[in-house]
Amino acid sequence: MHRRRISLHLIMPMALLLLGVAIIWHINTVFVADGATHTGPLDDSGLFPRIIGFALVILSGISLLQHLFQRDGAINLDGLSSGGFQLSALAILGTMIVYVAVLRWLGYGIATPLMLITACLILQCRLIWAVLLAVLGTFGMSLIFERVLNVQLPLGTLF
Amino acid sequence: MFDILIQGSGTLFSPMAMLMVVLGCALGLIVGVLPGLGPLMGIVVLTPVAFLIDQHAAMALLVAVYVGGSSGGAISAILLRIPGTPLAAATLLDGFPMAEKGKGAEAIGLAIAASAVGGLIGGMFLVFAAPALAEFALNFAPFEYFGLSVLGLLTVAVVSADSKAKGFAAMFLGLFIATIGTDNYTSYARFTLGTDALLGGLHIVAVVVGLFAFSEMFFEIEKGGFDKMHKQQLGRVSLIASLGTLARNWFNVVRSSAIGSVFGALPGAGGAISSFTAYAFAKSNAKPGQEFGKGEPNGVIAAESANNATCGGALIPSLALGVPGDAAAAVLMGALILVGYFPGPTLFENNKDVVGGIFIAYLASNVALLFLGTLLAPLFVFALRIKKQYLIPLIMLFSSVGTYAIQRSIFDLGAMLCFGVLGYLLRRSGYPLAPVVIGLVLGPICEENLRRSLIFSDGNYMVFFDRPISATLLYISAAILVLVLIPESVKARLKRRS
Repeated sequence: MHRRRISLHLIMPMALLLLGVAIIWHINTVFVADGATHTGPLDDSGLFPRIIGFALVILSGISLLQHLFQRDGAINLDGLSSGGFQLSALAILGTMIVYVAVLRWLGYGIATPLMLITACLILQCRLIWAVLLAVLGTFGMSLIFERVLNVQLPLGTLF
Repeated sequence: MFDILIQGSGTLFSPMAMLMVVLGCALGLIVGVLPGLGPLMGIVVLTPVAFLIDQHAAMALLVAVYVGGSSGGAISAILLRIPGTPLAAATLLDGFPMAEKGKGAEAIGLAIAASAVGGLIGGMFLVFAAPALAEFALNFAPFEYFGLSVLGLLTVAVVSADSKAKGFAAMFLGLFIATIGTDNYTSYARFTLGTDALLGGLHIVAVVVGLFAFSEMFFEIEKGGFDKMHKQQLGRVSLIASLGTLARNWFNVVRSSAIGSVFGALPGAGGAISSFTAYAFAKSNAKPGQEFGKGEPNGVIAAESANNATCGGALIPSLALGVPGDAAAAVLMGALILVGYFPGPTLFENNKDVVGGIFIAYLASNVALLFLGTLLAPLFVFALRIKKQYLIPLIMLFSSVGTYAIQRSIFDLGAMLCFGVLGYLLRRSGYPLAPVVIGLVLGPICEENLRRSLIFSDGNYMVFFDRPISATLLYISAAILVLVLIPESVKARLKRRS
């Protein structure tokens, strides 16, 4: 557990550092090649992002050094469990990814109750309550958005 | 000032807007009551909906959620010793002991009444101070706006993080996200990865809902306890008795509200700091027989009047200068921009009806809070019983449909999910999320004014120090940086030596 926390605390500053490097590299190659940087301040599309890139490199470097040399950046993770509930969080994320992926084809009316039932079951609801929540929730939101707010929710192309 | 209020009354006193005030206040109270949510989450989840209704009603709804959410946390703090929001952390110091003594209803009544009265005092401060500040800021040129945005970015990033480097890095991440899309000046597509979907940039609602709502959802799932239910009973809450107690302790109410208003107006200071400061003042001025920490009503009064007055204070720099007072105010600012109004002095010049509408919505929300909070307190106690296994799917549903509805875009849903994962990873790594949103909101303002200033000065960066106001703002920013960073480096050096 302790080792996992430390690795995450190293990975994020590293990722942000790499993002900063990537921004600077992108400006110095792609922006320059497209002629988006070599004129005055108003025409220099890379001026502000370049500052951001350098700042990210410096600040993430500081975070990395702080972590490597101090190791006292105590993060409040009270109440977090590391076991099965992380799998539940991943399962919910997977459900959402599938939902977003199939929404275009299945449409709101089919994809949403399926997503809600899956999420409820992952969160250990009883099936009857999961189905009830899914049906009422889907219908209720459809009523609010399609009837009251005049927003057409995805119809689906498959059926 | 009064002309602003008169113009605002024309737009806000419509049945729809008034309904939104009442609805927003009730919803705010519910999200405030539920531990883990809060005013920010309420505003985040409702922003997509607000975007689809009349703009004045939308602002009324969001302002009311802000007010209700800032107060609702007191109920769970008093009954469960779990502050529904960090703002209510000081309230539990005396609120929970009162509940233990069987005075839960009295404590909740006091908390709601103090919140409403504190909010109204903060509202008066807002109505008087914001127009004056905006009038002063009318003389600002791009140089001053750049200085202001730097100050806003710095203060919020500094105060919102345990690790300052991480707070700043989060802020720069927000600034970077704001640069994605077509550059307004050159029409050059920046960091769009060759996709047309990113040409218009990432929608702020997708980013904010992902960062806050989804990351919080993942955290709540990780904590487990899906079928845990808090069972609490509550007696009758009396409005008259609560107002009577406030009247007897009027000095504490006024002092705490003044502290809340001033702290709220300082970008980044926030309600939690103001309520603890007001509590400390009340405690240090305790009369004989008043035992703070053991169920003293004045403790609840001080904490709650301060934290709701902070909301009014936080709206002052947000509306007058375009510098958000806190994360919730930043999202409110973002919503205002989305409906076509840009916060800052020109808003006070060109859209007095909108500003007046926000003022009146804020004041009306506090009046609504007084009655709704008292009447519906038992219902909010019932909200505490909603199990996490039902609440999380409902948040998923509401966030997804709301985010989709803004642009009818499934791409936005994907972006929301990506930012949900990013938000979760950032929080797990000790990065605060509020600076990301502040960076996202202030980024375009900061970049635009930097580039316009450099045009005026032929690329000379020293121009910011040649003009007195921008120089003062940048010197204050530098002083804040020094004050915050130097002691930490000294501490680190001492630690390393030892």
